[in-house]
This record gives sequence, structure tokens and C-alpha cells, in this order.
Amino acid sequence: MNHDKPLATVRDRVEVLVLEDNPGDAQLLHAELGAEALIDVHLTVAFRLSEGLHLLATRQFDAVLLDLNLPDSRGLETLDRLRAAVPEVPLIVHTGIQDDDIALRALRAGAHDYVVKGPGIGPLLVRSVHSAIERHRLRAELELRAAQLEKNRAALRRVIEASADVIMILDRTGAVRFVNSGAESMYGRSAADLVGQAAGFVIQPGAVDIDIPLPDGTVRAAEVRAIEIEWDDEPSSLILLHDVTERKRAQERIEAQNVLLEERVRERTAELVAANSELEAFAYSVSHDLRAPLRHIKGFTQMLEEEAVERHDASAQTLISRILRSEDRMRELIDDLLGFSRLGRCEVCRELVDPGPLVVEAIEELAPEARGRPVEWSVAALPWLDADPALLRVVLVNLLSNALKFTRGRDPARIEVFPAPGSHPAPVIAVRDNGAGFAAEDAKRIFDVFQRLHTQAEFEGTGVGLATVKRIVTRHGGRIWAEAEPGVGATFFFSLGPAEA
Amino acid sequence: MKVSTSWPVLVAEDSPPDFLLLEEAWKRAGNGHALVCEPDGIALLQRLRLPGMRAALVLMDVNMPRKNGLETLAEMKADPRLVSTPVVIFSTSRDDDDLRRAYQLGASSYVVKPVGLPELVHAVTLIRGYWLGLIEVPK
Repeated sequence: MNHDKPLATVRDRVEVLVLEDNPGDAQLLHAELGAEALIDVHLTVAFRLSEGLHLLATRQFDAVLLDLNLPDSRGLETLDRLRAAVPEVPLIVHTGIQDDDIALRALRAGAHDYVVKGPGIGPLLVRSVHSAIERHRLRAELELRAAQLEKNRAALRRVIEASADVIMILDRTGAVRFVNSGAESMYGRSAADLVGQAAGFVIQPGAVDIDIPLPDGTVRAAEVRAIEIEWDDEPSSLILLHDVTERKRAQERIEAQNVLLEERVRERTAELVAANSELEAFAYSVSHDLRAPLRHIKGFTQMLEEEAVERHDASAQTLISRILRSEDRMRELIDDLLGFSRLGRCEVCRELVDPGPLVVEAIEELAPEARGRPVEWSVAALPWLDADPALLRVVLVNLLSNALKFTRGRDPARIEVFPAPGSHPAPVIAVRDNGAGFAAEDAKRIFDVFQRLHTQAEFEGTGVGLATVKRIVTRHGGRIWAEAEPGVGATFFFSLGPAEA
Repeated sequence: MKVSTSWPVLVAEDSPPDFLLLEEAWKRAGNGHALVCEPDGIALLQRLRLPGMRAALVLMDVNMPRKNGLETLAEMKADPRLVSTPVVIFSTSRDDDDLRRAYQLGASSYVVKPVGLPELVHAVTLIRGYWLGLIEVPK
């Protein structure tokens, strides 16, 4: 049936085919129906069935009024043949045969109405045609709707089938009433096998994750949603399962790998810590052991020097004094290295410390170095620090000594200690000088051990002081940095980290 | 009684150059008291326990093979015949823990090995003056 064809309604002109071999009757019909203003009926008359079938095959009719007895067809056969030829066109029998049996059989055979010929039949016929067309239209509409519903249903079914998730309907006993292909593939069984069987799991109210035991003995993990619905008029559960077995496995693998990784990190860290402390011990014992031969060299060289003096050997004396100077320098290096390595080993005992008095002490300690030089010290009020007091003192002495050394030649040398802005997570202390400074690209290097930016002749030193400071600050979980400009001065900032829990 | 100049001073020292320098300083610091060196604690204890041996003083290095200075010191202080012999620890270490342990074990004094011959002579002179000239020891 072509649903796109517009259906005739009573308001349109209605095309009716009249199959009537009696011209008088046909004439009468024209008169009767034409008189009805309610409906604009256009009659086409055919005298023979063959003629009528031909017309029906070539033209569109909204209804057929037929006499059962025609020259080429008689009785209900006429109806049957028409029915077969145009099943969609309503047929109204209009006959002279007044026979209830035939009438009944005609209606059963698909006639819309059975009207016996007679005078004054016009209104009845009009009503019959009218209702036939209307019924036909309604049926067509119904069929259209039904087809649309069927289409939607098929689409829904395709959605359900195409879903990788498991969709099943269980009755109250937990037996399967419906499964989609997702369920088939999860269970590894056909829908026919599954329907009627127990699902094998029970969903507790509110459950979101369940384990589903499968016939093959494996268990799948699924996220579940259960919805109460009616299925075939019975209260049932619509079960939506999302198989998360693989995801869970992947997650477990990742977790296991993480555990493994953490384990490895711990191992490596322990190894590093061990290696580091070995290195510290090594540095300590090396520098310790190096001092003994140096002491010997010095003692014996001094004896040699005495002899050279006795012999008035000036050239030997010069050489010997060079040896002694080198020896002093080497011991200085070793002593600094030893001190530096001790810092890596000593314990950090933190307490709240007022750095003010420590700065004053440090300045006093440096007084011999500052003697005879114009030095302006400026110490601002400083915040208390959570630090090991002895180590903090080393930091301050080193930073101030550094500032003092590199301001040599300045008149006056200005050295300031002040709290720098920014106090998170701990206060920042700054030491500023107007000394030699350094280039920005050297700002990081200066904290490396034995790293020096100047020759021994310019500024003496072993290059351990700032490394020591950095090590102490680092051991406090803090950080140290510097800003400087060559020839203008340098500012060192340090901040100790918060105390460990 | 005063310490007799005939009693030797025993030195526990495993480093020959250290002993040579000490010997030189010793000569420069005065006369009397032979200086005898033993390379470790075991040898030192053996000599101290020789019949008729009476040491005026023991100068004890700490780091030595076989038996170190502190172990040897402890053993001396546990020996009634050696307990009154003064022991001066002569070490390179200035570490507080080392100092504390030495005094705990009964060291008579603790001297850090000086660097430089004049400094060494000065130290030896003081040690001689005090431990060999001033103090009294039981007969």
C-alpha cells in the first residue's frame, strides 16, 4: 500500500465506480446521489465486471458500488474478484437480492456494506459511501501508524542489539525473559538457550558493582543498573550490565605496577642514600687520612728550612717557603672539605632561633678580617627561624665572611642583613653587599663545591664556603639563591624549609 | 714520688714519620727519658708488662692497627699495675665524641697533634714539664 498517497475525505469530490448492468438502476443512482448536497459524488458506471476491473486498474476510485449479478460475473464471485483485484478500495454491495445469508456472506467476504435496491435509498447509500471512505481512511492511517511503530520498534531493537552492554529482562524468579546480543556474547550462549534459564546472579538494591558467575566457571565484573518494568504484563527487572572486567584488570595491572614502581623507587632511594653516605664516609676518611702526610711534610720541611737557614742557602729557603705555602693551602682545602663532608653526616637539631644574636656573633668573629677596613654593617630585625642554631651560625658566618671578602677595596664596604619579602613557607633572609658581584650566569655555579669565580690572587678561598651554606640550607629543606651585578654587589637569599613532621 | 728520668716514655704510634717528628721535638724539648715507640696497642701492652718496666708516661695515638688507642687505654686502666701510669692521648681528631670517650676511659689528658715542628716542640715541652716534672706518682 502506498502510504504517501493522499486519502480522499468526504469534503473532496468522491470518485465512485458503479458496477450496474441495469441502465435504469444506474440512472436512478445518479438521481439519488446527485440529490445529496452533503457529498460531491462523481459516478462512473461500468456494465460489466471486466470493464470495471479495467477502470479500477487505470483510475483511482474511492469506493465501488456493485451489483452482484453482472453479465460476466454472478453472485459473491463478483465481490471476491473485485476484492482480489482492488483489496484497498471499499466495496459496497448494491443489489436487488434481499437475502440475509448472502448479505452476511458478502460482509464476511470483505464488503463494506450490503444495501438492497429500492426507492429512497439515496441517503443510505451516501452514508454508506461516506462511512466506507472514512473507515478506509482510518484503516490506512492505522496501518501507517502501525508500520511506523514497527519501524521504531525495529530501530529500538537494533539499538538494544547493537549495544555492547548486556541488556536483559528477568522475571521475579530471576529467570531470563529477554537478552540482547551483548548478553549472548557474555554468557557465550544464544538467546534461545538463555531465555527461561536462571540469570545466575541476584542484584541487591542499590548495588552498582556485581560479579557475574558464568557457566564456564569464570566471573565477570560488571557495573549494573536495575530498573523495575513490566514485561508481558508481569513485574520484571530490566538489567543493564556494563562489563568492566577488562577495565578492572587493567586497573589492577596499573596498581600492581605502581606498587612495583614505588618499591623500586624506595629501593633506588635507599641505594642512593647508602651510596651517598658511603661517599660521605669516603670523603671524610680521605680528607682525614690526607692530613697526616701533610703534617709530616710540614714538619720535615721545617727541619729542612732550619738547615737552609744555617747554611745561608737563600735559594733553598725560597723553595722551601714555597713548599710550606703550598702545604698550608692544601691543608686548608682538606680542612674545608672535611668540614663540608661532616655537614652531610651531622644531625640537624632544629629549634626556634633568633638569628639576630647569631649575626652579631658572626660579625664579631669576622672582626679580625674587617680590621683596618671601612665596613658599614647594617642588621635589620630578623624573624625567628626554625633551624639548628650551630648550623645557622655557620651559614651566617660564611655569608658575612663572603660579603666581607668581596667588598675588599670598597670605601665604605656596606653589608646588610635583612628579611626579604616573601615568607612562604618560611621567612627569607637576605645578605647584601656592595662588593665585586658576579655575572648572572654564574649565580648557580657559585654554590658548587670548589667552584671559584676569582683567582687566588684576587680573592683567596677554597670554594667551600658557599657550598657549605647551600648544604646546610638544603639539609634544612630550604633553598638559597643569589642575585648580583658585576662591580655593583651581590645579594644572597636563603630560606629554611619548614620543620619535618 | 717524682717521675724518674730513668723511666722511659712509651709512644704508641703506627706512623713512622709521626714518630720521627715527635722524636725530633722530644730532643729539642729537653734531656732525659728515653722515647720508645710501639706500632700498636698490643705491642705497647706487651712492653708495659715486661718485668721491671716502669713507664714515665704513655703518649697514645688513637688510630692504630690490631688494638687502637682507646681499647689499649681501657685495658691499662683495668690493670692495677698500669692504672697509675699517665696516658696522654695524642690524636689528630678534635671530635667531641672522641674527646669524651677518651676521658671516660681514663685518659690523663688529650692533646691534638700539632701541625708544624715549632708547634710540636711547644706541645712536647709543656707535656714534659707537667707529666714528667710536676706531678707525683705512687712508688
